[in-house]
Amino acid sequence: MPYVLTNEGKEWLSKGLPERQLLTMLKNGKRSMTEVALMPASAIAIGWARKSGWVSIADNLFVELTPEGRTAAAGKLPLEYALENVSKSGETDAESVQTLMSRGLIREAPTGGFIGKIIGHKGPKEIRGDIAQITPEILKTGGWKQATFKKYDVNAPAPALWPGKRHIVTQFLESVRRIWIEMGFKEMVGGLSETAFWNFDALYQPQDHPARDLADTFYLNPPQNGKLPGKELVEHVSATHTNGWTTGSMGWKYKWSPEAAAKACLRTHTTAVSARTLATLHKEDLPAKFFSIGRCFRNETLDWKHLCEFYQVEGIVVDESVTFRHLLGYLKRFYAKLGFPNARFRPAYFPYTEMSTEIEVWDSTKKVWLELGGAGIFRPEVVKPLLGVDIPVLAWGPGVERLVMNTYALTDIRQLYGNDLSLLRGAKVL
Amino acid sequence: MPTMTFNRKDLCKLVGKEFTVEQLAEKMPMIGVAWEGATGDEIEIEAFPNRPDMLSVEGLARAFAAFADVDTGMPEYPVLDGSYKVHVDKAVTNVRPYIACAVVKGAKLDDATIKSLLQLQEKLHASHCRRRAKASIGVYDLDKIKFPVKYTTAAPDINFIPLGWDTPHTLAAVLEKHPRGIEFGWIIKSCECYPVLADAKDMLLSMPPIINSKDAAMTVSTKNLFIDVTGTDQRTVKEVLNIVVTALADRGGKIHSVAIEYPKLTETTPELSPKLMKLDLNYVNKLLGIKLDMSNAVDLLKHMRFDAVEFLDSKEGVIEATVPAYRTDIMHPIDLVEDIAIAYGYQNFKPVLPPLFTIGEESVAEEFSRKLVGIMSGLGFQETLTYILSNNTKQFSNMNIKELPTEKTINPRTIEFTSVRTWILPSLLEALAANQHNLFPQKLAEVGDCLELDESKDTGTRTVRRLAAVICHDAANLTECKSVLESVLKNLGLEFEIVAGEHPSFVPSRFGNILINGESAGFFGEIHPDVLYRWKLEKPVIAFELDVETLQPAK
Repeated sequence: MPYVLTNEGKEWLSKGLPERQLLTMLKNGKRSMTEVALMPASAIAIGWARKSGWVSIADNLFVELTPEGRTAAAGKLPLEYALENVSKSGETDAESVQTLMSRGLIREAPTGGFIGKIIGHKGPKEIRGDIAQITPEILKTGGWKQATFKKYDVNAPAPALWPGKRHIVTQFLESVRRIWIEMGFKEMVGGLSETAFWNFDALYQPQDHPARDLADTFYLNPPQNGKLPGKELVEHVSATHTNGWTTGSMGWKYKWSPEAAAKACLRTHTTAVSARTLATLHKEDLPAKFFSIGRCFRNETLDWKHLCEFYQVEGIVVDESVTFRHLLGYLKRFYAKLGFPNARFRPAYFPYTEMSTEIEVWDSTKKVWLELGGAGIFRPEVVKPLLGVDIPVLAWGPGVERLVMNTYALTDIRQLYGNDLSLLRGAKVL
Repeated sequence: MPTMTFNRKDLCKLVGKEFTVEQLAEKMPMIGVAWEGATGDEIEIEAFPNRPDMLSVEGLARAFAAFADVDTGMPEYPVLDGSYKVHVDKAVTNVRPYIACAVVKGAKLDDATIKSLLQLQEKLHASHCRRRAKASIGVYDLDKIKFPVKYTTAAPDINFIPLGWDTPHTLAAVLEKHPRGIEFGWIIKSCECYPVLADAKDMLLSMPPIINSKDAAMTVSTKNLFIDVTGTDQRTVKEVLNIVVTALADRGGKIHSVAIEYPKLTETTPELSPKLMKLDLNYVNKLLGIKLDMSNAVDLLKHMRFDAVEFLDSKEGVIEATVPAYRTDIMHPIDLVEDIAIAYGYQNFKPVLPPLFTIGEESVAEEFSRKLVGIMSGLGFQETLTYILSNNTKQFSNMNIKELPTEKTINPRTIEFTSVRTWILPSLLEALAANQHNLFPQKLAEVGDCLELDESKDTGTRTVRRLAAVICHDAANLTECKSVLESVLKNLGLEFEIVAGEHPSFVPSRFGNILINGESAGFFGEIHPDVLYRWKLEKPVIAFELDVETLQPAK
């Protein structure tokens, strides 16, 4: 049975329930009864708040919040959810229906009128009154021919339905995946955990780099250590860190430790997947274009701006002929296809790319540039040990969370993983 | 990344030209710093970790002056001969072996300079010096010091007055109680004797890397400076000294050398002689996708504070660049290419797509996962997205089961994330728990990754993809669960077998294992009220979870 809001229900939905207004008023301290009495619907508010144990009244003079009242004031009230649900979908839970009905805030939705009734068992059925529901029997007997149809109000509310559908983030990721495939990229997949070797060392990140600290990376135990790859690759990476090996670089000039490289960690970027892919490529595989979409992990304190897990969109293009302008070309086309035709690039720094750039796209609604993450050309110190030759490798790894938040006007990044059904059910399909 | 603040007027004075805050906000990011904001003339930027020389307003002004075409080419920093000596005792070898020193005379030590010097010291300590572990800087009033200075170690009971305190304390007490001792004591705590600098009259100058002594400290009347950098990495020690002295030289200081007498050799610091690097013009143009001629490239390098000339002794098109000593980041010709790109202006590169033919291809696993989510959507399930990080309460005790071996994270900042999930069902129950105020029925499904310990893999783990689903409403029951599950398996064209079993997370006799080709592929059942209670769920829940790899057709 669907319900609709009464005029009073509509009024309180927009202004806030009387008890909410009272809670808000008392949030910053006690108030005198006289003051409270001036509030609209103060009697309902006080009555309801006392019944719920939210307020205490001292000497018949002052009203103040109890601890339960403070909790109630900080959160959303069940009745507020119920009122919103009825307004959106015509439905809510049975208990709230009772309360809302008794407070005169909702009523049953008007239906199409009384049901057409069939009498008699033989011959054409006579129909008394108007037909509401067309039944197989009416159709079989042709009884509808003598009857009239009950008038229905097409503006009357209908119960809400929610399709089974994809999560807002994965919908977005599917668009991203489709675009890279359209642009001729092959998908690469990696594991959630890595050795530090693939996550850092193969990307020429020195072993004392701050990003490798326990404070930023989730190291594991168990497993404390993984295994290093083949001897030749390890030697080349080690030599590159120490003195540049044959890459033409001076290297970081320190003693490289295989123990530090064997540590197991949750991948901090999908660039580790690119490193592994490069190590498997041969000259005859070129030109090669790969992308990857994957969950990455950073040891953060969870808050409205920071997540410990996030998605990264990784891409590499490997060919002797590619240039910095091509890097910008791929990124610009990608974001244009995603709905952001205006992209710009400024200098940035990453230990594994040179040129390095930060990608920004123009948000035409909010009129701001959104910072999306990094891109660049892998340094020779990264490419040569992995690929055996030094040829340009365009690479990028921007995030997607900001764009999803932007699409759905979310303000707290935790909402993306909160799975609130009112958000997910109500969100438009991309 | 380290941020630093400076005053616009101070910067413009150093640059030698006026710029408004708006002009700086537009131009500065294009040189390779992040603009954090401005309050009046006070500006905050973030310097990139590869450019510690831009952590001082002097260094930033130096780079900006060239970028903005006010003063290009490599700045000269002559080092005058000093008769200053620092004797290094071999006792420091196992503690903090390296030291580099300089004397700077006649720098204009006004408020702006002092403020910048202190900030530079602090920011270098935090970044390039790895929180003082790798290197640390001391600055003293030269005229209070009697040379030669000794760099040696001292017993923990030696007394001195550290900066910030008024009375003498032992080294041990400073390490334990002084705020800097508390913050940085870990670097030398394990040593029997602590590193110290002392002058010829045995006046203690400092206890690196902790704190300087009050006796030799800079004051308002200081005219000339003695600077030391000690540390565990010789290259870093020298680089840091170069960055500090060049900043002071930009304030009019004259740099004088100091002889460092190690037990076996003597060297002179600071070493400010530039290094030479060859750069092939073809390499530049090939990587950037533009056509610069020799004079363009030379000019662009000069706008990044290098000196550059055409190198005539070899094949055509080779540039010889002179790299100033404070540019610690130039380790490969590619670094010069990037600086050319920055001087050229990233905004001036025209994005273009290359004519490369390749065929796009989706991963088999992702394609199959999408099919699964498609079936679940058709059956009315909302897809969820939950955290892969978890903890043992959620994964095991809330599920009524004994702890299983699982990956553990070390030192998580968010206390909730101490392990990695091995199954998805707990994540879905958590999602249901968060939705108790929303309308029922609630049907949730997720195809997601879990991690299992696996010694045969190089990472020691195996990433496993699983499909889980839950249904929650007043009348949810096993029949409904079985209908959904069978529908999924049949739509995948799979033949399967259901074997009755028991599982502590599920109601007795309302649990089944699913076998495909005799291999375990997952399970389904009705969640045990104990488990519902722990998750604070007030309606019945039915669930299934499947291993995606077993469902996937063999390739």
